[in-house]
Amino acid sequence: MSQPIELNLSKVPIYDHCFFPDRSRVVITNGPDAQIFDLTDSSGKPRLVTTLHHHDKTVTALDVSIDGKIVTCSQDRNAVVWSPNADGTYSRPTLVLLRINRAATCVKWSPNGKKFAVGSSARVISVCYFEEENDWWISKHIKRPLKSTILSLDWHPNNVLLACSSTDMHVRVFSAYIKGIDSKPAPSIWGERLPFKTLCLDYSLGSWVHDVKFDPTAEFLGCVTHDGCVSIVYPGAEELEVSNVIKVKTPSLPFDTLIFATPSKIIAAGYDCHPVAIEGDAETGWNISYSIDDPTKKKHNNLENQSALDMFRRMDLKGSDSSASSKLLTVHQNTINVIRPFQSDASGNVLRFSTCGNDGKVVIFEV
Amino acid sequence: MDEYDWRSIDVDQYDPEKQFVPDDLGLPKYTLEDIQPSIQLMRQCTASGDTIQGIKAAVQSPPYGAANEVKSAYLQAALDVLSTSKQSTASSVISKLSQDEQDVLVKLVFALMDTKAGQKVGGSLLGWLNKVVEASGEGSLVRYLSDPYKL
Repeated sequence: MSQPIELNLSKVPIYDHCFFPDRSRVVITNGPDAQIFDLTDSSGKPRLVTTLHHHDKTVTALDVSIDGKIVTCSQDRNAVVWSPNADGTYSRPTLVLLRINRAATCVKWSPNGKKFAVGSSARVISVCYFEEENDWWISKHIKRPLKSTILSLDWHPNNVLLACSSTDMHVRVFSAYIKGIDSKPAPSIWGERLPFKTLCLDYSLGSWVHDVKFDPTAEFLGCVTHDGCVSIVYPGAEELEVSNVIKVKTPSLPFDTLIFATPSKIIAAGYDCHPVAIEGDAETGWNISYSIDDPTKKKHNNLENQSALDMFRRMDLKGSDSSASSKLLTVHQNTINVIRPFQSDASGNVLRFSTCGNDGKVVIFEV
Repeated sequence: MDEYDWRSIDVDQYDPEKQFVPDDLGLPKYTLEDIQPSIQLMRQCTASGDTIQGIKAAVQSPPYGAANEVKSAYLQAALDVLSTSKQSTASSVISKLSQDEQDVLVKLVFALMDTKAGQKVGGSLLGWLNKVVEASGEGSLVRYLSDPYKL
């Protein structure tokens, strides 16, 4: 296994990051801005290409669509779509009226890039789409039965179904079908007739649900909750029926984010600062299989700060003269906020994935 | 001007539509008679020194959300089991419990720390907590913190 690629991009926490489809550039949140870094520079270091400045409060999430449009959303209650110019640069922000009175917390493009969904603390999901007549992004709200802040969103590959997780302990699947934008989806396990706002699944996991993802076959959901568990929810044939829920209790601190590497392998990460792989299926159950970047397999390197200056600095700052380093043994030095797939093989299995964290790093790991 | 923490203002308190109503947990109303069998079992195990069976009885079906007198009767019996056992055997006892049973044990220990009687034997309770965390990691603590089913 090769070493993880570590990119130190920011002095402040990175709440979300997204690579462009060709993997040459990455967009990160940086306080009230979003920044694009080029990773193919001849110096070998990430080079700042553009700073996208429009918001006046912290940017909480961003996403890049399949055709290169960037959407950012912020605690200032707005979302902004940045469309690429002909030469691939970004300069034109378009404000999206979300009609919410609390911070926007998460945003995701639909797989075809025609619409996106924004979750917020106003217990509303805004499904936004482009209206040609007015040259304007407009939003439709999903309100019921959401009872609290939306923490994450994920689109079904059919561009219609939307999974959301919330601090009201529930994970839900809605239809975000927009007339005139979407074609009628084929019937699936999630339902047959799917007008806008149809609730397709609603299940309480008993604590805050930090992240939810459809598995690659889009037959079930993976969720991570604040009680340190990873839950896999299988829908049933009846309306709103849940046929099976597998809850994997882990010995670690809560996970914040997850992806499916394959339909039978989840990668999750969070407050323990290193990713963990969980494998299984509906019949045999799911279990933790291994840790990526496992701190228990590493040793503190005490040689890194043996100088007299460091010793006095430690005595001054921490009142300690021990030479043990206070660095964590993991690559990430703080909570991991978001995992995204980085590179997949021909059959769609994730080979490498990227993470961003509160330590201002983006790291690319092998599965 | 006074320092006032504006973050602690509940801006939604007068808006009935914006009140968060937690899910109904669907718990039965426990009475003293309901919990008598498990208390009996715990007492027997305390008398015979059978810590494992005692703890298993205690974590089987605790009266979550019950009235105070029901809870305190139950916790007293559970406290007797925990405080009369030997600390040296705690690790081997915990290793015989399932993950779910360990999580309930953490809940019992925390609930006991909240009682006067429990505070008198705080050292022994902390010992149990320590052993559970050794066995199943910090996950058991975060599960306690975010679990809606509490004693």
